[in-house]
Amino acid sequence: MMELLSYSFMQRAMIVGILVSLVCPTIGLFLVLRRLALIGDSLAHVTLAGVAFGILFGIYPVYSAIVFALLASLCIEFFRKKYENYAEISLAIVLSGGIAVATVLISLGNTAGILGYLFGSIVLVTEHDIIITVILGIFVLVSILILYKPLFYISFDEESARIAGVPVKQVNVYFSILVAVTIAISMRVVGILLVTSLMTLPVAASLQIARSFKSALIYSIGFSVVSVITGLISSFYLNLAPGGTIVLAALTILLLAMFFSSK
Amino acid sequence: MKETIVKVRNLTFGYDKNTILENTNLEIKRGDYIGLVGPNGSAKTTLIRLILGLLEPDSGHIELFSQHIKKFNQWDKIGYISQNAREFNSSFPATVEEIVEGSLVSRPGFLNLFARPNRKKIREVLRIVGLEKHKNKLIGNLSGGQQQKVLIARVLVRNPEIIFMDEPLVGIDFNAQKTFYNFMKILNRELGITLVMVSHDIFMLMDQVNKIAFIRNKKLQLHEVDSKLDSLDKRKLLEKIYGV
Repeated sequence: MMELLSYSFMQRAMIVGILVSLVCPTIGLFLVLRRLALIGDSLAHVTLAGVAFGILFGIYPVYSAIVFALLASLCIEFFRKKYENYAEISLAIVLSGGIAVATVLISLGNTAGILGYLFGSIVLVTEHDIIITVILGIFVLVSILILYKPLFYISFDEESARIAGVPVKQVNVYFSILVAVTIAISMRVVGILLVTSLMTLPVAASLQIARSFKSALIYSIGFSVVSVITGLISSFYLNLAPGGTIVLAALTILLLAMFFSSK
Repeated sequence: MKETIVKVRNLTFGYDKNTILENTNLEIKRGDYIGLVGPNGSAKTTLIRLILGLLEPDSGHIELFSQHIKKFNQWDKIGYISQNAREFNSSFPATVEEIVEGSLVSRPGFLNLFARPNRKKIREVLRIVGLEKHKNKLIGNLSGGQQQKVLIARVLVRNPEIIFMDEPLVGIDFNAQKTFYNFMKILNRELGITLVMVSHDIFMLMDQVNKIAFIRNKKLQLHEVDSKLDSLDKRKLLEKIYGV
């Protein structure tokens, strides 16, 4: 274990990984409770286009990923209004659009680094990644603290929240920004394809055993941190992509939670 | 003369040119307990949603607590239990206490987190609705009647002066309904809360309310209900309301 942390790349991966493991389930809990888990997935696919764009034009991919994800969440809102009775269609449209743009961008030029963003990587985490992840990660966590009560209110009953004077629209827009940022900072370690898993699997496991909202939040974060640490360690020793090992760890926890749950 | 807290004047509203309320007038006075009845699709819910500003009227004027609805900002005074309120996610992972507490804070703010929730108020409200013993239970583990009480507790904890309820008793068993009506009487007579209840059960309502608002053919009529009515008087009133 000590030997593992003597590698500086491993230290960097751990720092970024643990921070991401705090942010993802916190955002994920509200996404799941509002039945929006798949929005994370659609946005993640669009960030792939963002990353490809960044690599192609020499922009730091996390930045372009955030911009793309933000634009995508606007598009989802737009399409959702167009197809009010088929809300999930908006997710499908944005997801396909994201993948299409990504495919074109990738085939346009030299985007060799993209695999590391797709599946996650522990060796490729740079100093720059750490600084950005720490800044943005703290931004997301502090924002959630500020929005915690209104988000709880909206998640339980959006209409009552509106009548009670909760600025629902503003909170929702702010929340989409947080989702976009979370995906962008998580993709380095977990990988774009598996970001949503870290947002939903620990939450799914916590819902099996939580006896209150606070405990649901604490369990989600706990499961997520454990998944990321076990995932990163096994990724190191078994030489596997960390995205896969982290999500497999999270899946194992979910199965255990289901097994031991009394519900 | 009691204070008028809701005033609706010449209200007209329709969905896509299909007018469902025409030149409707309504005055709700402090302390009223109004039963809002009418055939299916007669715009009962729509009227409430217009009064709450959730829908925009085509024409007409709405005042809440003597303020024009567009300028109204004392939403704390108003409670609403919608038809959809019952359809909340029953596996929502929160305790009764958390849910009631959750409706106390509505503005985003960093200090919310450190502000002590008003435990005394929450305890009092849970005692009033009779859920003290269940406060640490998950809302999904309660019976339908108990869940209904949680929804009322959420509204009560904000100290409303008027509560609108849209068919609050659908899916609630008979005994729980009786308890609910008794409870509503207490809210109205003892706590002085003005109530507006949409219901199909006009017979039950007549023993409770002091006014019946009946919507038919895009119009609303308000009838006073005398609490000393015997069954024959009630029958006559019903005939008058229904115009038979």
